Amino acid sequence: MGPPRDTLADVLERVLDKGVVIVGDIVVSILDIDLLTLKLRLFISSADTAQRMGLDWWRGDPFFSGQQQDGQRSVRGRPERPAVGGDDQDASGRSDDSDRELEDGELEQLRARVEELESRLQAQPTRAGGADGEPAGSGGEGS
Amino acid sequence: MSTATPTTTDRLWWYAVVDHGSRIPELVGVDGTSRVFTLPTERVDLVVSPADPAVLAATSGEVDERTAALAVEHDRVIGAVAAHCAAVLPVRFGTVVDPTSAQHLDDGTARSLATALDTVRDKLEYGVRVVRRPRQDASSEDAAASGAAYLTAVRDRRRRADQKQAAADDEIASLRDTLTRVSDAATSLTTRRPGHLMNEAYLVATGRADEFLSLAEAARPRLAAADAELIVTGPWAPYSFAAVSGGGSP
Repeated sequence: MGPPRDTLADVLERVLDKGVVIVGDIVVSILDIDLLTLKLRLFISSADTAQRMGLDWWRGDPFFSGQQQDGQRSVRGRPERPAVGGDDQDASGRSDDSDRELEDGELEQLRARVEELESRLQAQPTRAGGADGEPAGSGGEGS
Repeated sequence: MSTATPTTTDRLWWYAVVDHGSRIPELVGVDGTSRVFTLPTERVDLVVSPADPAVLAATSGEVDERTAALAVEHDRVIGAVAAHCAAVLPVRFGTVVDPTSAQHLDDGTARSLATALDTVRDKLEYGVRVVRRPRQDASSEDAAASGAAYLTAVRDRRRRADQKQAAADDEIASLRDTLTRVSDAATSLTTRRPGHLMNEAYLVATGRADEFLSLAEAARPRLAAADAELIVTGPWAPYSFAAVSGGGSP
């Protein structure tokens, strides 16, 4: 029995970049593959539907997400499968879900922080922005 | 079995090229309903299915999950044909042809395709990738009692990382030489992925596939010792060895 054959990254790498290319009168249309690849990358990196499809491995694939893989954090929703007896265990022990929870938690903290700052800004008396070299509403915030 | 089927559709989705007179298994196309069949030309046959307008729309307008799914379906059809035919040339995703003029493929292109089919006949493609998997190694830094101890720990860690990298480079060079000897051709795949130390495709005779896989597998523990992971994928239709470009004219 041979090795497992594909991850979606492997499929797309071949389907989009390889194969016979014929142009001319017989071809009605051929996709602009560079454009399609770019569109797919943008779509996958932003769409929630990707997770439903099991495509959120894109998030951890630097080729498609544009992020540097640090080797300590795996966010592949669909594990790449080594040939025989390989260990694909995430070294950090963190799962996709834990990553997502962390990201969501950070997002909530940021939202709360923005709301707090906006409240403070509204509570402050209006100043002429930049008169003292400091934009309006920024005084007093140390972080 | 599915052979040439007359069609009245004005667009055909093109999957692959096979030998003239090849018989392919019963398959449905990328749209999940249309039947895949062979369109004969003088020298080679084209594996096609009617191109559903919805499919064409999914590949020409806004990209969504359906576009990605179509790419997977395209590969599914090619893989099924490759499992059945001795020689298959995958065609680039998204190629749509006119059924009437496609049957009159120009002779130069047809000859190139026939030659390329001979090149990949009874051969499979395997992907071999080596990915850097550095282990977390900061405990000595965390335990450092002083700034000097911390800097020493950092220096030692970086030195170990350099040694691992050098060891991985050596193992990859050895692996590449070994696999080249048991394959008919090799080519690099994209190198744009950070962390990928090696990403190559090999064209392997079906009779040597087990030998190829065994030799690749033998490198796994040595690569792991160098903080690198071996990933082998396949067998694939010979996507990476079907670099035929041509033009057709009626």
